[in-house]
Amino acid sequence: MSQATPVAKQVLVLGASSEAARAVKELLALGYKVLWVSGDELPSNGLDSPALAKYANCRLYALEGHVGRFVSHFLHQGQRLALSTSAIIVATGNERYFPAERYGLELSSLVWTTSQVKEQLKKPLPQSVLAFRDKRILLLLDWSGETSKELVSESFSLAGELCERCRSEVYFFYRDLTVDSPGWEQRTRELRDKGVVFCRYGEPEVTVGEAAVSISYLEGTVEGDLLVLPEAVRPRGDTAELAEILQVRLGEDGYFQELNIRKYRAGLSARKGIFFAGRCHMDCDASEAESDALQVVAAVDALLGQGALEPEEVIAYVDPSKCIRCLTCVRTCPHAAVQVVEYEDMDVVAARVDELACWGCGACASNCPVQAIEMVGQEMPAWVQGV
Amino acid sequence: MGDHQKIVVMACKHSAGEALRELQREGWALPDGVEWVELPCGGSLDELHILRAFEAGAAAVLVLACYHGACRSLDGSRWAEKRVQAIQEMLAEIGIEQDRLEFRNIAPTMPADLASWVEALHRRVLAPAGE
Amino acid sequence: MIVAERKPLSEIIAKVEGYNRLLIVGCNTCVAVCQAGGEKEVAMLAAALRLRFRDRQPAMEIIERSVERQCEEEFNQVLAEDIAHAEAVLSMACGVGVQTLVEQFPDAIVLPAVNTKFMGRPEERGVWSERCIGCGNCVLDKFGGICPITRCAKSLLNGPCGGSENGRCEVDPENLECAWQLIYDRLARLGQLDRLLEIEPPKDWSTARYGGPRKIVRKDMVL
Repeated sequence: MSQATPVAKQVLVLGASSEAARAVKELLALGYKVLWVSGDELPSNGLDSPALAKYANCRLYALEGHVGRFVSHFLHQGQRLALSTSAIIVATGNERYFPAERYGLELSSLVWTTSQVKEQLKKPLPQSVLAFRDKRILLLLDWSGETSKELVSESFSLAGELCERCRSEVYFFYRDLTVDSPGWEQRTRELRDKGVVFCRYGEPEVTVGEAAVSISYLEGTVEGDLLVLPEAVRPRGDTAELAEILQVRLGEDGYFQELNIRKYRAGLSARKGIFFAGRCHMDCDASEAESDALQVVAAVDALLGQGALEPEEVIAYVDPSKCIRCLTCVRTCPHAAVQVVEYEDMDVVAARVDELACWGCGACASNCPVQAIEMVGQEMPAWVQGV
Repeated sequence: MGDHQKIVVMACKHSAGEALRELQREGWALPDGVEWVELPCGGSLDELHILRAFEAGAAAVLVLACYHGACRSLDGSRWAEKRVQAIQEMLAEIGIEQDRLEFRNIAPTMPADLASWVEALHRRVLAPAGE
Repeated sequence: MIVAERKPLSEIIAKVEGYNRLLIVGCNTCVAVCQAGGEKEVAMLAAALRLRFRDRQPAMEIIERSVERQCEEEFNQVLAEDIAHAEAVLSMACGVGVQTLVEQFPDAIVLPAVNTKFMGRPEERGVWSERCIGCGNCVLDKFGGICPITRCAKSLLNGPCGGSENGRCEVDPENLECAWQLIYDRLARLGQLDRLLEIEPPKDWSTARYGGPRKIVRKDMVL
């Protein structure tokens, strides 16, 4: 039973995020064949290789099979497309929005989002820089609720760039600034050296006037030429649909929920062979998202690197002749490893546990109303069979 | 319950199993009369197996599963707790004290707790004071 | 399917107390699917009863069996010997199965171990709900596929009563949806709200239980 099943070193990467691109690059470097698919446009970042196939603007509508032999079904330019891979990395990222209600402020010529500032800075010289030249810019974090790590990091970068490139005078307002990510403490120190003024507020009062903005806080009032507010992030709108198709779970926060195991392995979903990378499952900035992608690729390589898969030491086995097809096991399995299928050799329809997808938890066996499921490899004392 | 001489511990191998092995490395051994049944996950705890443990002469059954939210198969420890509650209700009707079936959440880092729970149950059930 | 629920253990214990040789027979069809009386439930009940009577001398003898469908005599044939041996039979099938055993084995004392509840479906794992009362004259086509006879507490056929609030039924707002809200929503979705303008005449209940126990005779299937 526990013979190794050969599998192709072929991986599907879902999403157009920078962490998806990082995963693709790393997989190619490790010699994998990569199918890179996104519901949106894919970035054109020079990632070209005979081992890479790219499909933009695709919608995943079904997933068949299990680890080692997933078949993902897409709609691509009106055509159906079926892609076979051994594993799937979901790196769809998150979604940004401006929480106008939360801030209680409208965007205007005096109130910009961090993204708007970033776009402006990308414009050609001199207009990129002139918009902020010698201006006093009030950057306001944590207005209410938390600012995501991604936006805090971007705010740091913007503050630095505005100081250096535009000679702006930057005031960085915050309530709680958690600098627990690698290098962040250093970044705040460098910003301070560049002239960024960090101001900690309790309950700030923001006034947007005709030509100026001002923030009153504990230590007084600061007037400025521009108020910059970080956007917020949330799970992409298609996350729930994608989770249903992939048969993986969402956490209470609406992001993909990784499997909670003691020896943490990056981005592990509850389904074998499906991994989450970056901002679709965690709050992190772009560079952390990319290092998460690298760890996920390492986990994928740990799984597929030998070119063969072996079942766990303990796995569930359904006796098809006892199965009454009640679907209890299918509904119970937390790893989506059980399906009701036709056993062609036996001419019977019954539940079947995919032996490579099974984690061996035994939830199916303990729930079976006709005791048709056995945990193969599990030693139990004789008395459980009855006296 | 005079002829009932054992305690059955049904334990998730990822948490309780790890804690036991840590204890054993330190030289601790399960008290006499304690039967350790290791489960692949709390989710595999079978109500029938609990009843059969009592049938096989257990004076008490202790179920150990991970903390909810720390289960490697997501729901396993929550299932285990539900099962225990269901069987406790049955025990009341069967005429066995409900406290003969215990459920506890455990982490691999809790060997000392494991030892104290097992020893306390052993004292209470197998070696009552005065006997 | 037929949905059932195991009787309280104390009630079963009281029923079987007077016997010392017991046969428990499960049914591996509807009641197994709804986790009330399949092979596993038989084993659980047997274990519970053995524990309850563990001090009895001589020990209570409990035989555990399960059949494919207890409402079919052919499947029950295999039980003949055990039924002859047992003082009483505890059936974990629905009421139909219990009565099949009674008709098939007229000398056996057959006791029900489950309460047969309704015809329904699993809404999710562990939750079953009623969908059909078997009125004998299906009208689902008229109500957007939602049965007002089964799902409205009053079986109203011409719109909701005054007890429909926020889509819930006043009989048990926490657990019951108002069938008429469901019907309205479904017809709106189908663009068929005009169907609700038709007045439904009083229902002829003679096809339901009120015409006495029912029987179907397929002439082409009997000689």
